[in-house]
Parts: sequence; C-alpha cells; structure tokens
Amino acid sequence: MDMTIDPALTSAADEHDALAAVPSFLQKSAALDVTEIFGGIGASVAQEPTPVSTLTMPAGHASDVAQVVPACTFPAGLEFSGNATFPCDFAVQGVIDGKIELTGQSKLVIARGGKVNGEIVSKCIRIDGEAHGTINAAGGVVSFGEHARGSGTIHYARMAMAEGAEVEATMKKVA
Amino acid sequence: MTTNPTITANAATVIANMRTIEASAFAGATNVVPLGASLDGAMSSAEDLALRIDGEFKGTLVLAKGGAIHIGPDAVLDCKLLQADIIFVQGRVKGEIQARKALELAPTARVSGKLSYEGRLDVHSGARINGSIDGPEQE
Repeated sequence: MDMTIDPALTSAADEHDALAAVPSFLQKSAALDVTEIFGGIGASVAQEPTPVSTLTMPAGHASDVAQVVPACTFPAGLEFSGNATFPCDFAVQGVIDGKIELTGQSKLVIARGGKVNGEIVSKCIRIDGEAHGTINAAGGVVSFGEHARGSGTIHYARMAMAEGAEVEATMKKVA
Repeated sequence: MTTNPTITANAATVIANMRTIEASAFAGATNVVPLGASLDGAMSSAEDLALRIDGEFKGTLVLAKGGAIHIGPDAVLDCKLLQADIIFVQGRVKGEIQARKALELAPTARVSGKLSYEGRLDVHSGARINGSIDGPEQE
C-alpha cells in the first residue's frame, strides 16, 4: 500500500486543526460568511427554497422553525433604537425600536422574548415574539408562531398563523 | 470539512493578534452587525454581553455592566460613545472609546477621537491613533 500522503489531504487536516483551535465566536462568523457567499453568488438559487419550505411547514413543526437561529443574532438583553440594514439572515432576541430592513431573500426571525417596535422589511419574516408597527413582507412570507404578538399594518403575499397568536393588524396582500 | 480560506486566515490573524485580551472574553459572542450591514442609532445593554461588529455602525454603543466588544477588521464605526469592559479594535473607529478593563488595538486598527481606559491598554505596532488617551491615574 502506498503510504505517501496526498498534499491535499495534509492541507485539509491542517485546516481542520486550525478550525478546532478557533474560539467559538470566530466559528460563528465563519458560518455567517459562508451564507454571505451564497447570498452573493446565487441568492435566488441557494437561499430561497430554505426559508420558504421551513416557513410553510405544518403548525406542529413550529417549534422546529423557532430553533433555526441565523448566525447573526441580536441577543436578549440588548436594546437598539434607530435604523438597521442587514444583507443576511437575522434573529432578534432583544428589543429594537425603529426600522429593520433585510435585503434580498434574507430571513428575519423575531424569537420568543424578542420585540420590535417600528418597521420591519423582509421577504421572509417569522415572528415568535412581538412586532408592533409596520410589517412589510410584500411579495414574501409572514409567519406568526403560537406565542406571537403583533399589531399595526402587515403587507404580505403569503401568511401563516399558529393557534394562539394574537395579531391585531390591517392586512394587505401585496404579491 | 469545507473551510473558507479567507475566514481561516482572518481567524488565525485574530488569535495571533489578541495578546492582552483573553479569547475567552469573546466566547459566545454574537455578531450584531455583520459585514455588509449598517446600523444607525443607539444600542445599549445592562447585561454582560460579548458582541462582534463587522459592518458599519453609527451612534452610541454602551454596555453599561461588563461586556466585550470586538470591532472586526472591515468594520467602520462613527461613534458618539463606545463603552464596555473590554474592547478589541481591528477596524476603523471614530469618536469616543471607553474601556473599563482592557483596550487593545490590533495592527489594522485606525482610531481617531478620545480614548479612555481603566486597567490595561495594548497598542500593537501598526495601529494608528489620532486623538487623546486618558488612562488610569492611580496605581
């Protein structure tokens, strides 16, 4: 048996070791940048099927959806007021006042305990926490979990609402 | 395993660069401003959080109790106030920086404004500072 090691394999092993030594916060950002690369190369091909399929799952799978937390997260305990634009998936566990806009097919998740007052713009919005104000998913999907609270104006193309969600809003279907 | 060569290089650089601040300060850090994102406003927390910023941020960022902030190499900040226990800067920051425990500026750091720290300051060769530095007066 040939015992010489393929250089490609050794470099792969080196990469593996290097990654193992990387602290967890850096590995998170590594995961994030991979999604960014996909977003850059073929957003419509690589990213669109994933959020749509998870969001249109039956209500019984709602808890599974809630566990899908994007690499970029606004943690609980943090508060922000102002305007924010994101090119990638974003999860809100803290409190945000103001406007959040996600470009492309990026998915916004307001996790349980998370709260947004103001305007949110995204093609794919999942709400398990609270959202008050304008929810703009024109041409996209809005999904409310069973613990969701929502009020204001909602623009959507497709809507899902779990039993238990409390939503008082003016809804307008915008394809 | 698939690895992004750019990220691997960046990660290695970060580890090599952090010599005063321990990497554990950023364990469990969340990326609140990813590359390509831009935020304008006031961010604050009373909890001990570890945050990473890689995109654009304008306004104030105050972690009143504890807290660690990592400004990534591509980040651009225009801050009225940036305050936390531990601050590690690799990117560009303009404005006022207040670190209650440790402030470390990596070689790629470009900082202008008013810097103040209690505890330790570590400026790497290559970092650029324009402005004033206020350190602890007592031993």
